Amino acid sequence: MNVPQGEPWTPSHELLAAFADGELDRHPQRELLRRQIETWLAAHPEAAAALEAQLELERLMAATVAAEPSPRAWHRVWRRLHGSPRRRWGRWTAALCLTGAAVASAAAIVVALLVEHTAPQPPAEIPLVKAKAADNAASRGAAATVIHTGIVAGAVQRFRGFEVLEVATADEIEVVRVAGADTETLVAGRLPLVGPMVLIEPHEIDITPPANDSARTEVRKGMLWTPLPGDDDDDQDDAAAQNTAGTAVAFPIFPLVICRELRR
Amino acid sequence: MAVVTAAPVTLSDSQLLARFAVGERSVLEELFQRYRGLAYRVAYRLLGNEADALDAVQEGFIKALAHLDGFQGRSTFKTWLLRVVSNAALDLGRQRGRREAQSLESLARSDHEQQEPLTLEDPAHRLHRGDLRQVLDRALAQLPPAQRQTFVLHADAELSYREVAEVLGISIGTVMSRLYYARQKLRALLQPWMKS
Repeated sequence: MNVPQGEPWTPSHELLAAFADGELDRHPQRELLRRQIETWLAAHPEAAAALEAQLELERLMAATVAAEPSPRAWHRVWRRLHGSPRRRWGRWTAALCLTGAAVASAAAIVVALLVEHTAPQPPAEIPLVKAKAADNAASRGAAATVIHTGIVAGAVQRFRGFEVLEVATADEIEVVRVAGADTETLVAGRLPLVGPMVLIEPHEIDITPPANDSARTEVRKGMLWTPLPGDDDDDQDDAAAQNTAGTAVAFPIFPLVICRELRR
Repeated sequence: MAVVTAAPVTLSDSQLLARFAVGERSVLEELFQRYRGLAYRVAYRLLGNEADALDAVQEGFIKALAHLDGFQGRSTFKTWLLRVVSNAALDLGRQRGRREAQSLESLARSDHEQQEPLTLEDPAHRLHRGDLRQVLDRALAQLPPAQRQTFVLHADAELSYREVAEVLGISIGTVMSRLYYARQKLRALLQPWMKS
C-alpha cells in the first residue's frame, strides 16, 4: 500500500477495497492516501459501484452469521474438550505402556533363547566310543582325549563348562607314546583312578632305554608310558601336551588319564 | 457500613495461557468462553453446518492447546486459535467430503422464478435468513480454499489484513489479492440476490 507518486494515478482494485475496508487507517500516510483516493473516486463515479457492491456483500455476510449453538451443544463440546487432552494422554500412555511391555517381553524371550543356545550344556549322554586308537584322528589332534575300547569302565563325569573325559581301564589300552613336554607333569596313577590325581616328575619314573636305534626312549610307571622330554620331533605335540598337562593339573580332583597317542 | 465490591479481574490471554501452562486447567474454560463464538462463526462458514462446525471448534481448541509450544507468543491467541480452527475446518470438510455445492444457477432459477431479486433492505421480498445463508454458503463453497479461508477470516472473524496475513502466514499483499478475487467471484455468484 505505497503512497502513489506522480500523475495520473489510478488506485488498484485491491487498494480501493482496502480503502473501503478501512484498512488505510493503519497506513502511516493514511491522510495523503485517503485524499488521493477520494479525489480519484470523485473523478470516476463508476468505481463507486464496485465499492458499494463490496459493502453490500459485507452486509450480506453480517446478516447471515450463523446462530449460536444452544447452550446444551456448547456444553457437550466443552465436556469433550475438557476431558480430551487428558484422555488423549491417557490413551497414549496406555498405548506406550502396552507397546513397551510387549517389546520388553519379546526382548526377554529372545535373550533367554540366546542364552539357552549359547550357554554350555551338559551332555545329555556321552556316546560310547569304540575305535582303534591309532586310527582315531581325533585322538591325535585333541589335547586331551581318552580313548577307551570296549565298554567304558571309568565313571562318566559331567561338569558344566569342563571337558569331560572318560577313563579307560589299564588292560584296555596300551600307551605307545606321550608327547615329550608333558612328561614333567604327566598324569599317572593306577586305574581306576580314585580321588585326586597324582602328577609324576621324571625322576619318579623308570626309564627304559630303547632296544635299538629306531626305538624311542620310553618311561614307564605302572601302566603309563612316556618318552623323555625332547626325545622326538613332535614339537607340536609337545606344545599341545604342555597345554594338556596344564589342563590336567587344573583339575586335580578329576580322575583323568592324559594320553597323546594310543594303540591297542 | 459501605460495601465495596471489587470489579472482576479480567485476565489477558497471555496471563491465562501462562496459568494453563503450569497446569491450571480451569483457565481453559475462560479461553473457551472467550473465543468459542468467533471460532464457531469461522468454522460454520467454512463447513456449512452446525455439527461439523462444532467438531472443528473442538478439534481446533484441542490442537491449539496441545501445541501451545508452537504458539510461542508470536501472535495473539485469537489469531493462533483461528488459524488452527480454520485449518481444522478445511481438513474436516475435505475428510467428510463436503457436499458439492449445488449449482447456484439452478438454485437461482428455482428461487428466482418465484421471487424478485431480494435483499435485506427489502423485507417484502426478503429471503428467509436461513435460505440466504444457504445460498451464501454454497457460493463460498465454490471459492478455492485459500480464498475462502482468507475471506471468511476477514469477513466473519473481522480480522484486519495484517491479522489475516499473520494467521495464514502470507503477506498483506496476498491477503488483498485473495480478498479481491474472492469478492469478484462472490459478486458474480450472488448477483441475483444483490441489489448493486
